[in-house]
Amino acid sequence: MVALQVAGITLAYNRQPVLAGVSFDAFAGELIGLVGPNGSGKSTLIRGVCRRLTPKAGSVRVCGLEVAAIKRDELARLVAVVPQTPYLPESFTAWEIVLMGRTPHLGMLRYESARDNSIAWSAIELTGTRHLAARRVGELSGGERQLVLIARALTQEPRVLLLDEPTAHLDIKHQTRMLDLVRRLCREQGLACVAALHDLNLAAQYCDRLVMLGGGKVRAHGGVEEVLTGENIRDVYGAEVCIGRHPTTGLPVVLPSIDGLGEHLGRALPAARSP
Amino acid sequence: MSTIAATRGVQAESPPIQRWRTRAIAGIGLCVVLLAVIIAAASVGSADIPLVTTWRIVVSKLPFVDLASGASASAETIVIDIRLPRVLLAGLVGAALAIAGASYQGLLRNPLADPYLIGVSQGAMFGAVVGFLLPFQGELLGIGVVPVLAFGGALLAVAIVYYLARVGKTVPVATLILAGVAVGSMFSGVSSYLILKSGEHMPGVMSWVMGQFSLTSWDEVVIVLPYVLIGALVIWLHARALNVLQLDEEQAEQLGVNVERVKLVLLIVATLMVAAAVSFCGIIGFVGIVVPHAARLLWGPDHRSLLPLSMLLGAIFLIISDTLARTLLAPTEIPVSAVTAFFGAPFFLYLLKRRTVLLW
Amino acid sequence: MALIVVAAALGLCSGCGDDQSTPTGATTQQAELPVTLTDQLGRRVELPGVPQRIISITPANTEILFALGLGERVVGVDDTSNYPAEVLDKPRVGAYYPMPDLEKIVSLEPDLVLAGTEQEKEVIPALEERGLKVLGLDAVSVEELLEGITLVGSATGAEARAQALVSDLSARVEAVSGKTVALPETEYPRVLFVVWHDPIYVAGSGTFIADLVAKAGGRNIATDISGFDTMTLEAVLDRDPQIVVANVGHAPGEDATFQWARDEGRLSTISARKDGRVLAIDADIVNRPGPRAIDALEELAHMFHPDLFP
Repeated sequence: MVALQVAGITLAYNRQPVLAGVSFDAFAGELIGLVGPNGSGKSTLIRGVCRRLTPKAGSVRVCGLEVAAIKRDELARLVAVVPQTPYLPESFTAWEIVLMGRTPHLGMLRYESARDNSIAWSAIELTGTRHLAARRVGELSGGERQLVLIARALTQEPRVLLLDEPTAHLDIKHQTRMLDLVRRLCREQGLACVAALHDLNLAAQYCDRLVMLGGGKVRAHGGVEEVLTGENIRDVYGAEVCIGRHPTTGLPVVLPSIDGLGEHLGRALPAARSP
Repeated sequence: MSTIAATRGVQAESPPIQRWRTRAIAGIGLCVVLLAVIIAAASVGSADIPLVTTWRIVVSKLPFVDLASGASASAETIVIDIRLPRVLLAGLVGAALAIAGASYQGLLRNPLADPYLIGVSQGAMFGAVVGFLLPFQGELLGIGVVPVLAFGGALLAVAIVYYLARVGKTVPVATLILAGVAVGSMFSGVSSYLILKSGEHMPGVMSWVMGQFSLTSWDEVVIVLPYVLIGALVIWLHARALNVLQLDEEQAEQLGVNVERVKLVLLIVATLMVAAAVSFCGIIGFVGIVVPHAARLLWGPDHRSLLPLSMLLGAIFLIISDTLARTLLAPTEIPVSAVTAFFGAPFFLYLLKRRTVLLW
Repeated sequence: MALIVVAAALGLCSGCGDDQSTPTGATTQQAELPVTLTDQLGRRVELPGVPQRIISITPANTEILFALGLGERVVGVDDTSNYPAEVLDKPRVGAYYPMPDLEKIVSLEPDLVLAGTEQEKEVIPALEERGLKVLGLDAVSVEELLEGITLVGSATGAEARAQALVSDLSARVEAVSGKTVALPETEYPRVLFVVWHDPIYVAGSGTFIADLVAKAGGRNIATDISGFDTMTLEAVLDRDPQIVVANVGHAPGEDATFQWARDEGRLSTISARKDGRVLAIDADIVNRPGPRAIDALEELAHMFHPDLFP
C-alpha cells in the first residue's frame, strides 16, 4: 500500500527554488533514506512533505489524501515528524512531551483518556524510554531526547514517519540503536518512514531504498546497490570514493578514495591492494 | 488501523498521575486559603470592628437569612460596601493579572513576559491621564471617564503593537515583543509629558499609576467579574495548546495546532482581561510576572494546572497586599504596587533558592 | 523728619486699598544698605538695594506683594497667579511647579524673586545659578504667614506697610481664635478637609490648612496623618466627621471633590451628610498662604461655629 506519494514538487523559500520536480513513493513498512550533500535540500523536502513549506508545484499525497487540502490536525494524525534539533521546554517531563503526541486526536475540551495514556505508554515501551519518563527533558542527553521525540511521533499514530537527521550528534552506539529501532518500528507498525541521513553507510545498512538529492533535483533513487555507486557519488557529491562490501551484510560500504591521499599525509603508503 | 493501540503497554502507576493528584490537592488547598484570606481581609481595617460583628453583618446580608446584625449603620457600610468589594476586586484583579501573565509567558515563550510587556499598561496610563485632564468628569455608561479611557487606551496600544508586528500572515514572537517595547515607550513618553502638565491633578494621576483600590465599589466588581471569569475560561480551554506551544512553533504546527489562531485568541483575551483590571485600579506590578513563576516552580509547567493555580495564588497575593496597604499605616494608605514589590521580591528569591528545579 | 516718615507711611497706607497711582512708591525710607535677611527656608539672602523689579513665582506671594502696595514693582508672575485683578496684565513666567520658565525670568531682569516651599529643591538653586536673588517663604501656620509678610516688607523697603497689614490681619485672627480658644474641646466639631477624592487626599497635621482648621475651632480628624496624604474611606466613615470641607476651583469640573463628598453613597451615614454640612471653600483662598487665608479662616469659623461667627 502506498502510504506516501510525492509527485513533481517544487520547493522554494523565496524566489529561488531549492528543489524542483521531486518525485518518489514510500510504502508501508519500508524505510526510505534521503541522502545528498549539505544543502541539497533534505530538510527542505521533509518540510515540504509535512506541509511546513507549501510546494510551489506538484502534489503530496498521504494515504491517497492530498496534503494541501486536508486540515492541520488531520494531517498530524497521518504524518509525524521527528525534527533534527528541536527546542524542548526544559521543565516538562519526558512523559508530558510524549503525551503531546495525542494532541491531534484530542479537541480543545477533551482530556487525555485512559486509551490516550496507554498509547503514549506503549510508545515509551517501544522506544525503551521507560526509565526516562519521569525525568525532566532538560536533564536528558541528545540521544535520549531523540528517543523521546520518536516516542512522541509514535503516539500520534501516524501512517508516515519523517525523520530529519535523527543520527546527527549521536555516537556510533546510539546511531545504530536509533536506526535499528526506527527500522523495527517501520516494519512492526506498518509505517512508511522517510529519514534524511548524512551518513551514507548508515543509510546503506538500514534503508530499504534511497533517494539521492543533488543540484536541486533527484539524482538517483532505488535500491541501495543502484544508488550507491562511485559514479553517482562523484556526480552528486563531487568526491572520489571506493565502494566496498560490508563483511556481514554484503551491502555497499562507501569509503573515501586514498589515491593522492598519501601526499597530503606526507608519508609513504603501503601498496594499494586490489579490491 | 494503527497497531500501536494493539500493543498493550504496562499500565504503571506512573509518576504523572501522582503529580496530578498533588496539583488537585494544591488547588483545593488554595481555594480554602483564598476563602480564609477574604474573610480575614474583610475583618481588618482602619475601623476597629470585632470579628464577631463582621460575621454577623455578613451573615445578616445573605439571602434567605432573617437576622439583624445589631451593628451600627457605619459598621455595616464599612464591611459590606467598603471592605468586601475592595477585597473581592483585589482578588479578581490578582487572578486576572496572574493568568494573563502566565498566558503571555506561554504565548511569547519568555519567562520575563508580564501582562504589560506589549504595551497594555502604557496604553492604559495614557488613556487615564487624558481622562484626568479632561474638563469633563462625568460618567459614561455609569462608569467614570478615567476607566473608560484607560480601557480604550490599553486596547489601542495593543492593536497598534499587533499590526506593527505582523509579518505576512504570522506574528513572530520576537517582533511582537520588540513592537511592544517600542509602542509602550511611545505611549509612556506622551503620558509623562501630560502628567508634567497636569499640575494640580498630579496626585490623583500618580496614585492611579501606582495602583490603588481606594474607592472600589460593588459596581466595579460587577463590571470586572465577567471579564475575568470568561477570559479565564477561554484561556484555560487553550491550556493544552499552550503546552504544545512551548515546543517551537514548527513542532506545534506539526502536532496539528493552529499556532497563529491560538496566539491571536490568547493575545486578545489576555489583553482584555488586563485592560479591564488595569482600567479600574491602575497599574499593579509584580503579580503578573512573579505569581506564574511561583506556581510553575511549585506545581509544574503544565498549563492545565498552572493557569487555575496561578489565578488562585494571584488572588490571594493581591488581597493580602492590598490589605497590608490599607492597614500598615492606617488611616493612610500605601500604594499597592509598593507592597506587591516589597513582599513579592524576597518571596520569589526564597522560592528560587529552595528548589533546584529548572525554571522554564 | 519724623513727621515726613509718618506722613509717607500714612500716604502709603491710604493708597494700598485702591489702584496704585503713586509713582514715587519706589523711593521710601530704607534702614541700611545692603540688607541681609534669613528667609523662611533658612537661607541667607543679601539684597544690595531696594528691589524695584520683583517677580513672584507662587500665587500666594503675588497676593502678598500686591497687598503691600508693591504691585507697580511686580514685573512678572507665575501662570497660576490670578488675584488681584491687576495681576492679569502682568507678564507670565510659567508654571510654579515643577519649573517656571527660567529664561523668561532672567530676561525680565528682576532684582528679587519670591518663591515658595515646593520650589526649594530645584527651582531656587536654578535661579541662583543664574545670579538672581531669591527669597523663599514657607508658612505652615498663620503665625508663619504673618512673619513672612513682615519679611517681604523688610526686603522691599515696605516695612511700615507690612506692619500695618500684619496688625490688621492679626486683629482679624484674634477675633476668631480668641473666641474659639475659649470654647471647651467638646464644642469643637469633628472636621475633615478633603483635597482630592480618588484616592481621598486630606489635610493632615503640619499643613497650613490644619492650622486654619484648628484656629477656626475645628477638630481635624486627620491629625494622625502628617501632611497631605491619603485616607481610607473606611477611616472617614469610622471617624464620622460632622463637617466635611472640600476645596473647589473655578473652572468647570473643578468641584469634583465637593460633588463626590456630597454624592458618595457610602458616606450617607456620616454626620456631615445627615446634617447637610458638606461645604465647599474656594481653593484659591485656602491653599495659598497669603493675606486671603485670613478670609478663609473667617469662612471656616463661620462653617464650624455659625452661632459665634454669623
